Amino acid sequence: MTATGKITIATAVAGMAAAMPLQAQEITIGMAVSLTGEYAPYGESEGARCMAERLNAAGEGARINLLIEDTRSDSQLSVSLAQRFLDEGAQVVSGIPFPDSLIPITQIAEPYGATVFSAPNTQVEMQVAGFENFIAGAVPDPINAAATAQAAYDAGARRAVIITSSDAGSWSDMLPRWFGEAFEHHGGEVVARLTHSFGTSDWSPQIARIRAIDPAPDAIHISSMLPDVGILIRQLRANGYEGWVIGSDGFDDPSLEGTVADAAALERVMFATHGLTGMNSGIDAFLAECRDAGFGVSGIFDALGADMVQVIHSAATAAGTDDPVALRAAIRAEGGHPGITAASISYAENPGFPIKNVPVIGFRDGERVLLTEDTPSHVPDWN
Amino acid sequence: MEYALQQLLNALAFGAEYALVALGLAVVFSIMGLVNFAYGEIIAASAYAVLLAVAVGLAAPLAAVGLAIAMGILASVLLERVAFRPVRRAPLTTGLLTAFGVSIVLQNLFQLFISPRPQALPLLNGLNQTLMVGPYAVSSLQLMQLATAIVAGGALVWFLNRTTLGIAMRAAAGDFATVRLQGIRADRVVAAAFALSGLLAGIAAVFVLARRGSVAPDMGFMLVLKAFVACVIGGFGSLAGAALGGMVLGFIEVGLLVLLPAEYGGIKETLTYCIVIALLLLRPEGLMGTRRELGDKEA
Repeated sequence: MTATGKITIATAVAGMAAAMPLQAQEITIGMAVSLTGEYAPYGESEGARCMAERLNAAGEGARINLLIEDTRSDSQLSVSLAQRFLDEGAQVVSGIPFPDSLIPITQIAEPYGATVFSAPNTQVEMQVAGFENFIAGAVPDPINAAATAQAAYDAGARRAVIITSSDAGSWSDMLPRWFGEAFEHHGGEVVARLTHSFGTSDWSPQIARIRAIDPAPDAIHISSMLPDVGILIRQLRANGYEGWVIGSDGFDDPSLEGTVADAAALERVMFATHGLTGMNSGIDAFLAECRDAGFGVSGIFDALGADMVQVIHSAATAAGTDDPVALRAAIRAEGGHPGITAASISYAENPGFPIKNVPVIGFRDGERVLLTEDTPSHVPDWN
Repeated sequence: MEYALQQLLNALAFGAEYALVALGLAVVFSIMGLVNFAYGEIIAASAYAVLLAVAVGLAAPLAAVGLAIAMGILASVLLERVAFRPVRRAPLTTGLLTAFGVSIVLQNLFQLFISPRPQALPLLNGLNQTLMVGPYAVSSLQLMQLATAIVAGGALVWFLNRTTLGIAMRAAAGDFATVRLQGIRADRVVAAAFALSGLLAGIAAVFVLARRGSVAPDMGFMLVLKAFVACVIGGFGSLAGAALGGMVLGFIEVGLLVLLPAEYGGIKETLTYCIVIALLLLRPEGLMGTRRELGDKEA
């Protein structure tokens, strides 16, 4: 072989080598998600699968390898699954989006250099703890609460009841209190604080207490799950309550309308969430395409799962490496990443959560309508 | 005063629901000594039968009530035949584990073949109307539940005391071997107990559906845990005790919900079980249970 020939082959090999890392680069995301059990309505895995398949089919940038296992809504099981994913080389893992699952997972992921990315996590415990390797896909609960407080006050509500529960940490316990704090900051008043447990299907004791308040409240805030909140709305209306029923992202499931089953009962319901669904939005278009492709997507949480995959893919492609620490740095780089729930998702400002507007959804004639979509003017201190 | 009476009505309604399900558990326990933790899934099976019927266009509320009850009986008898009869002579713990296993299997079947997500089913919502009686808001469902619990309890007492099969069931609860020596078929007695239990599960499913307006794979599980606690409070094996235990639990829950300040709401369950433990310390055999000799376990 001539020297020219050797140089030509060497150049070709070098050229291939330069191209190869990008083609062969694979990022493994281990998702311990609740496919069954009480948290199943809020799973994000089908949206993540849909986005991963879409990106892999496009063949550009890093390849996404998703490992998905069912936690059965059991926090302890989610930690075991995350450990297995880490041992299998996952650079990113997730768990049930509550601290009792995410705190241990974040701690065991740290020695691996891996990132814990919880697409639906909103709880401030993870932000307050200040884990360097934790990233949430959604804005924290106090911002959600502040958005509805502002929207409710602007809609004329002045006397609010908050209903708390300790069953899902600060999401169900503190979020209504943050709503109350922001509501009072705007000039409203919290006139009663009630409690509940998850799985409540008879709200009569709470409703009797609400009916006994004089003058009657014109807003009730609760951060809980379906079908409980749907039943609450129905029973409140049946008992003559005509004020606002205000909630968090737990309201954001397509089964809300079916469970309430009465367009009039939904008329003064509002909730803050992570994006517009059920309103012919870009998210709906994405979800429809996923459904057509055979994925069992349902709502906003699948869109957050897709966000997570898209952000990680964008960061990995930019970093050009499968090193988990470098990948995390790339996620937090200036410039942000494309997403489904927002055109650009940036972790440059806050390492643990994105900056996004919070849409507040209401209902008109049984159909979802956008009430407000702002960054709230007053957010309660959560530290 | 109005407020206290309103909450009293609510406590009665809570208690009636627990009592109804506790009666279903107690019927089987009194005959077989089996705590049927799969009972919640029998309730769920009844609800899913209605969901499937609606999906194929059978959306008449009255037919749905009949279907739920029929499915409750069928599912209960079927479980007895398939899962519990083979372990009837095994130690009680085997039956207990079998019940847990059946519960998990059924929940997974609902998840796999229907959906892990709640499915809206508002067909029976009409049963739950709020009636204003003077200053009191009374739910038609609460009234029906209370009436049904009373009627079901009365009917059970009548059945067990006045019919041949009922007397055979009571005798079997005391001494199964002797009952068989009298020529009574054990299988028939046990199947009848499961059918009765399933009937109550079907009725409970109707009430749960009317209130929830949706079905989910784990919809009956918590209810059965509460009913189990009710049976313990009342004295396991005693039908009257199960009903009384359900009522007591209802009053404890509503009482704590109403009286506890919101700051202490998180300890409601803890306090509930503290009260239950205190009751059991006073009456270890339950409020209406019979005292058993514990031999050298006695102090």
